[in-house]
Amino acid sequence: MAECKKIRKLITLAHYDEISPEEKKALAEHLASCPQCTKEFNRLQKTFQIMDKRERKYRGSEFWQTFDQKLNLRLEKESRIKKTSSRGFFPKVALKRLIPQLAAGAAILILGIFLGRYIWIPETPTIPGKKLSSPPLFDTSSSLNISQNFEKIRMVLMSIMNFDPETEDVYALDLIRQQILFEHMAALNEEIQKSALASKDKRIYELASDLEIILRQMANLENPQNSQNIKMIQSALMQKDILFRLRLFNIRHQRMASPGHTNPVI
Amino acid sequence: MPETEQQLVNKAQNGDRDAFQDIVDQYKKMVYFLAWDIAGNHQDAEDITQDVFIKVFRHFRKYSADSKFSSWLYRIAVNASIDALRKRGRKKEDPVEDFDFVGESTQPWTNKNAHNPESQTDHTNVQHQIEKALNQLAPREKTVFVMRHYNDFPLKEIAEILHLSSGSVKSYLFRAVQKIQKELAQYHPALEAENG
Repeated sequence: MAECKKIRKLITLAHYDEISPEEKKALAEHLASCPQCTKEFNRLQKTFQIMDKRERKYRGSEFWQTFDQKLNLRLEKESRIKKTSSRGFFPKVALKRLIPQLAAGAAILILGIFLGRYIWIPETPTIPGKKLSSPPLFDTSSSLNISQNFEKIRMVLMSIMNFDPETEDVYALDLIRQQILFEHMAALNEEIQKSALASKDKRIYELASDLEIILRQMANLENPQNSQNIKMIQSALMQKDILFRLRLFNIRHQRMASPGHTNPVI
Repeated sequence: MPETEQQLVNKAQNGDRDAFQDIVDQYKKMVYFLAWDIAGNHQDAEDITQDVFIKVFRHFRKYSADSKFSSWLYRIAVNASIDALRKRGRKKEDPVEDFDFVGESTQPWTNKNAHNPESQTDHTNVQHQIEKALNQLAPREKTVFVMRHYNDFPLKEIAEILHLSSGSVKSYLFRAVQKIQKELAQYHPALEAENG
């Protein structure tokens, strides 16, 4: 019986020609002497005959053409993914080099944001020559007090003149904020020129004219916090002796304002 | 592996798309029929075949020339097919729904019976019986059986593809045949085994 069990396994394997010549010989000898196993052998042959009737749907060239097209589309997609993933966003070597640069850039950006929060103030759009909407720092009314306005301008320009860009913090001057003021001052000097022209006061007209030019340049500087620009302003003020001329005007005005003199209020 | 195939594989591994297409052309039909035999329907077989070549393309660098390329490829195909078979088993779909037998079949056996409705019915019945017999096998048994019986893989190669011992493969095959015989005996009494 144990022999028959072994032989039945051999019958299956023999069908597929997966037994050695010795096993083949042993099988043949056993089948010749065992009717039970012979019946089993026959049943198995019939089983295989039925299983051989299984039909597979053969696919024509059209099917395989469509198959190839679909596959190629998917492969194209895969190729693109492969290229992107192998490269990453940047090539690996370039990325290594970029890391310190990116870190430095990020640090500068953070510093910029930090400083910007303290320095930057939204500018009020200004139209040269037009009356500004913010409260007037200078008297531009019809009863224009030239002396007082010149004194205020002199104080502002003095702070710039006394500033040492080599040793002091440029940002302490806050020239970006002061550019609005310079714009006001330039507009004021334009008015003073008109008044001086009307009163035929050549000295006031020339001083106001020089002041207007310098103040407009200061108001229009793209980077007023630059120490070179501050030096340039200082140089222009010195060339035209602006502070000295303003001081002289005030002294003269004070004398005129003393008893016996007429107040030069226009 | 023949040298030419190894060269083709090397080229494809290095990104040569023409070489890859040659590999696809060489193996696609084998993979398709193997997938169909295991998974049991045409649609799954087509999807599996597509997926197999995408996986090969994606993981080509993992293939080492120490083993046969075809074994590596068929292992991917068999695993994908068994996965599909298991998923399908969970869905409990009709296992023989794909057998419409009309259309692209070129087998003369079918054509011969096409004008005979009775024969056609018998033929369809037999196909159902066969599919039923195959589908009641465990995935491993079915895989070993269809690989050997319908795809002519030698048992040694089946063992290599499935990472099984030769003895295990023989056991799976023997058990599969026994189960098929028992299933078919319901429709063909002559196949019924005698006690003893």
